[in-house]
Amino acid sequence: MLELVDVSLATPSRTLVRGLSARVGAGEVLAVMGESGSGKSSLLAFVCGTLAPGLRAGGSVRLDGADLGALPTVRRRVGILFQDDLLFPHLSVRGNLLFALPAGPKARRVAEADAALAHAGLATLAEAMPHTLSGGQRARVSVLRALLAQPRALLLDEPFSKLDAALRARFRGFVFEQLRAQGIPALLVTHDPQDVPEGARVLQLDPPADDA
Amino acid sequence: MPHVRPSFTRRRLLATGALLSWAGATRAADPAAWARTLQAARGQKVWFNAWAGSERINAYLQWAGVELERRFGVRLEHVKIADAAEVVRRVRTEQQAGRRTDGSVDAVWINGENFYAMKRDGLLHGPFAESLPAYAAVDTVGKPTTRIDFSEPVDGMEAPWGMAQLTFYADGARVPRPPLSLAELTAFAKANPGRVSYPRPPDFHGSTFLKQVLLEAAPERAPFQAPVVAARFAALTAPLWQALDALHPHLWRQGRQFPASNAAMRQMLVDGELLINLTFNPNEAASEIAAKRLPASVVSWQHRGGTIANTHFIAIPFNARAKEGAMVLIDFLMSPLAQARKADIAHWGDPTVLALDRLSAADRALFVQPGVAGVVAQPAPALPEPHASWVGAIEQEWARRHGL
Amino acid sequence: MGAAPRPVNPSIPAAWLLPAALFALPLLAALACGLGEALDAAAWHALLAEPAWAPATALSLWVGGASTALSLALTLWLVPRLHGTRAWSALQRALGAMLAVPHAAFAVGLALLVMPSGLLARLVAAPLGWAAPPDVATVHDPAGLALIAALVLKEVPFLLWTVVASWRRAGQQAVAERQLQIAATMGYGAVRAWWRVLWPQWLPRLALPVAAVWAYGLTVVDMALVLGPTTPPTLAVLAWQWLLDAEPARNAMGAAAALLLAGLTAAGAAAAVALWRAAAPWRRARQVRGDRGAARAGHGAMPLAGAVAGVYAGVLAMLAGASVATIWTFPSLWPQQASAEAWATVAQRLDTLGLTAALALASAASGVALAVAWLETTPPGWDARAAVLVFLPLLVPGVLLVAGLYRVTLALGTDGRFAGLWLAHTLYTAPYALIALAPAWRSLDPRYAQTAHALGRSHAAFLLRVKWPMLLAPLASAAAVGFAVSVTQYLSTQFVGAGRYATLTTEALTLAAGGQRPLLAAFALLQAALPAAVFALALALARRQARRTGGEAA
Repeated sequence: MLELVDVSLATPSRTLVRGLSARVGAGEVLAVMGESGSGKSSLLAFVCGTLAPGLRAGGSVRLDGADLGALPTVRRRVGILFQDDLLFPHLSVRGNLLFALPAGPKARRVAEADAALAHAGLATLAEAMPHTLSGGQRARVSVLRALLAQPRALLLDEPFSKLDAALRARFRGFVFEQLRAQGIPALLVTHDPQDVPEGARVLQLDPPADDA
Repeated sequence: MPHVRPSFTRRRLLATGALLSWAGATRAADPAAWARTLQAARGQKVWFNAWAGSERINAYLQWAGVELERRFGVRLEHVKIADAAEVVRRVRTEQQAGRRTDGSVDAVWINGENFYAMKRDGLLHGPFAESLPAYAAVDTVGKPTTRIDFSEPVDGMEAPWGMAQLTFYADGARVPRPPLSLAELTAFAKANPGRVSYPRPPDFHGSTFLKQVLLEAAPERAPFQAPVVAARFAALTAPLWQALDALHPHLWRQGRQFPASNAAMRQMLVDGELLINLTFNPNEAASEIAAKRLPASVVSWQHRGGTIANTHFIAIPFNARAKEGAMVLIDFLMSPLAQARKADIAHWGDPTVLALDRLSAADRALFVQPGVAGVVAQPAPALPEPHASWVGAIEQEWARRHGL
Repeated sequence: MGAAPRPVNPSIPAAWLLPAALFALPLLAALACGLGEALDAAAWHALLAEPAWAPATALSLWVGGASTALSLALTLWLVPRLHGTRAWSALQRALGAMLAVPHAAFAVGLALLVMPSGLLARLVAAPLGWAAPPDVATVHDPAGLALIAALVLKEVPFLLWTVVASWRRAGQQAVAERQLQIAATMGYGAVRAWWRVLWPQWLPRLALPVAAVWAYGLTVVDMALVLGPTTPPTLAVLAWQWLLDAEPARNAMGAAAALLLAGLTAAGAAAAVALWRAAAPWRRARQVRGDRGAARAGHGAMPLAGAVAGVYAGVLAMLAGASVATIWTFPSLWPQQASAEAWATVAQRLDTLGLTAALALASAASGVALAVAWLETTPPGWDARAAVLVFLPLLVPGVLLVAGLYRVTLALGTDGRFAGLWLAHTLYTAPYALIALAPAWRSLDPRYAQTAHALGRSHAAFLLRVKWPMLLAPLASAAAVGFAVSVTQYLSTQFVGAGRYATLTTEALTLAAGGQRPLLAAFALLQAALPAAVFALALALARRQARRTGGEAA
């Protein structure tokens, strides 16, 4: 379970977010919507631990009851998905997945990666290099990679916006299904209401207010 | 006007048995021709390639340039080179490329094996030296090396500029009893390990040190006046290599490394890293003391049995663009005024090639009598240089034995 | 649909031929002449018969290989640890200054610091009770360690600079940051993330700069003269000495040795590439092993980077101090006699300074002009192929190229003339200018050109009034780089200039063999100060531009 407790974010000149509290259960998706500049991405950065140095932050983030505090990104085990798939171009598809898996005996890891690919219908692409894949295939591999790292929560920074309409719907379904199956709480940032899954709560971030 | 013949009609053959050759026309100074040369030289720029290893020499040449411009309207450009061999290479390359006029070198400070190479390969202009007016005062009798350069006849292909003799110097406070022979030097090195060295051949100071050791160690010196014969080289130079083998273990860096030049060694002397330096200019120490670059306690000496002496010259390449300007420059540099300033310890201290008794009283007065700190207290005999062909052979053998 | 649309600015291959020819013709002619001299059977026989060639070659391979490997290793080690910290931006600013110090001046200053009678020895002389300098070879040591150290200290800033330039390329920074972030969310420590994610993508991009470092370490002459072993010297120094010799047989040996060096450079690069490729399976397996590495890097990086910068500061301070010390016997820390005599001599030799500056300005200008012409007219597909030609002067041993250049200028009648020197220097400034300008050129949004044409302005007007003014900062910095490259030229000035042109560098190196230490230090310092002043100017220009346009100072 992912909890935001009284989170506030501000730049030197204005407040982005104030007194924000929310809870996201296992397998749940909390959509964060708002106009550009409303602090959506900064909120994600705060949860991820990569907040830009110029920003001031208050409040806390709790994962499974424990306060993340000032824990560095490396230790948080909070995954992130961006608009661009950002697959590592020097590794094959399987290589990208293996990269995300925890260390262990080689045979077991390869089996796990291949199983994930098979489950997503991408088994034939295991040896392929990312640049040979289509946009939709790359997006799916990117989700698989994020999930294989066994994150305790997943942040989605407008991951669907670069896909065309047809692909979008299929990919959306794929992502939410995976999240539900693995019981991972997710924060989804988007500006398109169609991206919000059925029954999910929406957090509307107000337009930027001048510092009162 | 009658020719003014040089005084060789009254010359005496010297007991050293040096070969004197009249081959090659020795034209006397012809005033009319000289006036034409002066006329042609006016406005020319002379590129004088000269070793630039010493600030005093560079400063002297700057003075010469000013005087030359003022008196003759000739502009002097001092091309600073590290070794005359570069000039030999450059002139030869130009010759191969068919550049017969408009060469890049007008005059070159040269002697020994480099002169031999240029003369042998037809790279020089001349003969010209003996037709220069100033040549009349050159002491060809008392200083036979002005006509024989490393046992090779000069034949007027280069003009004598200054005298040189291998001299050693050290800080008298650190070296109270200077070694006056090879044997004493070896003993001194044993007593002061790591404080003695010589410049790395083919630096000309280093090569000269090798020749000095050879002449001191060899039972006979005569064979070295003749060109080197490959078959007898090993046998004749054996004493040299034996002497070096005895000396090297006690040298700086145990003889595995050598300073780059005598200037580098002078710096090391001041730093205290070395105790003895060597030079070709007997007045170098005195000159450096006067310039406050060496402490006043420095003394100079030459080996009791004699040290190698020679003359250094200036030559004109065959394809020089400013031949007349070069001749005017050389004539000026041989003039009493220039020679006196050159010999003056305050400026350079390089001994003159002129015969002082042949000069007018006024000119003779220009030559300051040295009585200053650092000069050689007891001058030693001058040993003649071996034939030019020995130099390269000795340098190569040294490189083979000690250069790796 | 109507006719197929025509490109707004059709690249005209013919227009590219002019700058390409201006650059390639002298270069190829020089190479041909150099090769001609070197491909002489008798010369090769003489070379192989010369006992010095084998130890000299082994020494060169050792010096080049060790310095390249160490420089690369240090760079790869430093970047992940410094990236993102405060030290990173400080280092980037210092890089320009460190690169501006010419190799020869740096070598001279380092020698003054570490030689047996140098400052470091004097610092420990008192506690250790030394009365005379120790008989230990710290410079000119037979193993070449001093030379390797100097090379590493010079090449690490260069490699760091190429990494920074690579980082700054359009879009690269954002992608790289995101990739690192993803790796971090997966639990990879920063350093481990660099090694598993970024270095594998970037090392191929560093290939040409590393090749240039290898070529330089293997074939450097001026630094080897100041610091390198003498019994025997490196093969490059031997080749240089033979090329200067009076005997034509030795000249030919020198050319053959230079060709051998070129062959070794190519062989070494090929071997490195082959090794890299052969290790690919092993590398891949390592990259996906999944071990996360330490969350936080250790603390060694900042002190190390600080130490490198400190050495540079020490070198410059030493040069300044030595230039006024006339008598400075061991072991005192302060000179016994100080005077500004050396600087007075320098003041008298203002023509040397003027010549160096004039030559540098001229060749920087022509180098930048050639580079701009090249960049404006290169057909898109030719970039990669042409890059090799551009890098050639950096990869071919200087001794080989210079010997050929001399013949070319001899044939043209420009040897010993300013024009000949200008040509020789331009051959070196143009590639560096090209390397400095290419990233900025490539990353300029092509839509600016389209907009200008759509507004009805000619291409020339676009270039003069939009593109080049926009790229003023990179142009200024490329000119500064070209200026510095020209100032440091030694072999070409000596050879092609027929010894007539005394630049600060040739004077410094002539003095380095001799004993006039204050004068040597003064010249070396001046040699470093001149490009530094020009770099400062370029930086000021870039800052002013950035302030006016709100952009980032290059």
